[in-house]
Amino acid sequence: MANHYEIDTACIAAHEFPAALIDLACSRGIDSHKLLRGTGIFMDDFLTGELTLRPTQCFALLGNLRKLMPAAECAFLAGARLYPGNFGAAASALQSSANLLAAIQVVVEYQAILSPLLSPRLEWRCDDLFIHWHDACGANEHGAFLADMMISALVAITKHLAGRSLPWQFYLPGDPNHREQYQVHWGRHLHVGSHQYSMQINRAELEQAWPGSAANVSEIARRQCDRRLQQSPAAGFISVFDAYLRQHLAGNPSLESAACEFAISPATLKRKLKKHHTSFQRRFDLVRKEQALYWLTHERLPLAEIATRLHFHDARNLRRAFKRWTGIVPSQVIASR
Amino acid sequence: MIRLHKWKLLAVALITNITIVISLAVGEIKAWEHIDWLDIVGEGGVSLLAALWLGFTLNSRPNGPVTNLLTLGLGLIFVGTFQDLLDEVVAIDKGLFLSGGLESTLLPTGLTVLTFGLYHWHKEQLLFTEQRRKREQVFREYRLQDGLTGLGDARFLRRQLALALKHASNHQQPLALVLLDIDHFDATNRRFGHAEGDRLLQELTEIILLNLRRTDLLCRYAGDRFAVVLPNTGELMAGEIAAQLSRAIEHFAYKTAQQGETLYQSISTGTCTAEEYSAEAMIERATTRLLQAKDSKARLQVVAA
Repeated sequence: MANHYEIDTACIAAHEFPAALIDLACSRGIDSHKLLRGTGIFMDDFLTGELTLRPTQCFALLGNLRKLMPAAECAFLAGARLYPGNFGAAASALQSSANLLAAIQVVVEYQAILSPLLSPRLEWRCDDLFIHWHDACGANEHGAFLADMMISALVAITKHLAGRSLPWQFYLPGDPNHREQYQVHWGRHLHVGSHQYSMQINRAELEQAWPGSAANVSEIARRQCDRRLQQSPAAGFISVFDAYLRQHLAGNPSLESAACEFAISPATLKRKLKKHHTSFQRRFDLVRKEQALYWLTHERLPLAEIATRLHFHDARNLRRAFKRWTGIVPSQVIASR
Repeated sequence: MIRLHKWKLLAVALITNITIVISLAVGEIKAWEHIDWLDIVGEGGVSLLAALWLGFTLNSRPNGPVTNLLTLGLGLIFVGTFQDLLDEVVAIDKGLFLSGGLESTLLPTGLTVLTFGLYHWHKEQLLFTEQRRKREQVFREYRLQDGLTGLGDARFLRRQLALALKHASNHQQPLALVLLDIDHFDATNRRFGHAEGDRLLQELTEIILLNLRRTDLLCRYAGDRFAVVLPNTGELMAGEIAAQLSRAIEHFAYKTAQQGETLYQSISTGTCTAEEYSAEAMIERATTRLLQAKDSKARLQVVAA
């Protein structure tokens, strides 16, 4: 359980993920001093290519970038130029992927390198693969920006590698302000009000061979990435914590049981979560919301059954909690599915 | 911009200093009980605002005669109001020119010069407005402007399209919307870098503007997708303009900044005419037609290959 990075762990190579943000700002004529102000990053150190950043520094950088470049297209532009970037072996693994499925697996497996601030989670539903994007280590107010950026990055690189536009479908939590950006950069199949950031693709697309496929390069690059991740943490604390909650949902986990699992005291766990701008209750609610939505829309379980599975006293209590989590009542979700 | 004007600012600061020195030389500092604080706040505020106007104006203008006039006018107003403020703190003999006379000449002179400057600014602005006509027509809102191309963004488009629709239905005129999208723009971005892609968008903006009529409005919808609002234009004419734009862009030999390589672009277009649609419905319909045009082009390429 110790193999995770926290919001203040120096683990993000500055020339990899953050470089896309810095490059974007510089190409649009933004003063690098203003961009790096308050981040503790110095341009000279950044240019050495040996600097590692803490997630907090990346968030400060993101904050500056969004202030200096408030245009709606910022996240989409940053995403479009993220891959292959300067990711070394991880980018090679991505580019030599045999097909879409392999590429997605590379992003998921080497998330700590390729997408250190937001973690993708795969889920199979019938003939479709869903990729849900979750907070990795306390993104807080930058979550929406990062989701737009990471989805753009995956859309752009897979389009490039496949040599054609792929029929992705996208799910957004609310109704976005800049629909046109999503339309132009992602495509038309946009579902709003879905309470999470996800993308969906049909199984048939996943196995189609890509022109740039190179089995040996891919194998070697993956081994290089594996070696790198043996020496440094492979997942963010929040994503590890959420995964624990998701896995133990049936046992109705509590702060105490979670602390026990992570081999720390409940007070330390509380402090740790607070450091990531969140709390046990918020994580727990989030995971239960996702699960309830999934059971409601895809498995079409009755409300009473979901209430029992989530350890609610009855359907009425669940309905009230659901309204608190999502702003709507379960019957509205049922009506819209 | 303000760095361009450091000599002007220094001159204003110098004159202000001189007035302080002269006032102190000829007058006495008032005792606490003789100072009227309300006056200080009022006149200090006016003086501060004058300084602020000077700052904003200089920071937004290049050098030139109009700027000089504006600086002179605002500078005189600032020095005049500052002298007024000094009056409240330093007691100056009433007979001296410095006390009443200076103030009552500085302010009117400043206002006259400023008026003169504003008149020329107005003339200059008319010139620019004409140049920007196809980008904004009769409405300007800098917050709805795209930073890269200087065109209005999608929110600006929706707003202008709604107005144009209203106008069209009131006057029984046709109205058309053309959406156009560069083919394989992301491939160009990947091959030549995003900075090159940005420059290409800027230059394409100019090409498209050159091919439009005076009444047409060009907006940047998002990314590499542009929108043209064509008032008093029927379907045939809109199709013709779309074809003209398409030909103009195909013949545009863009040169990259690095190697001076020539890049040719092609575009796909989607046209929609107003019947009873709302602005959103028009954009939606034009988008559908644009994507259909793109798809059929992609299929043609596959067949050709």
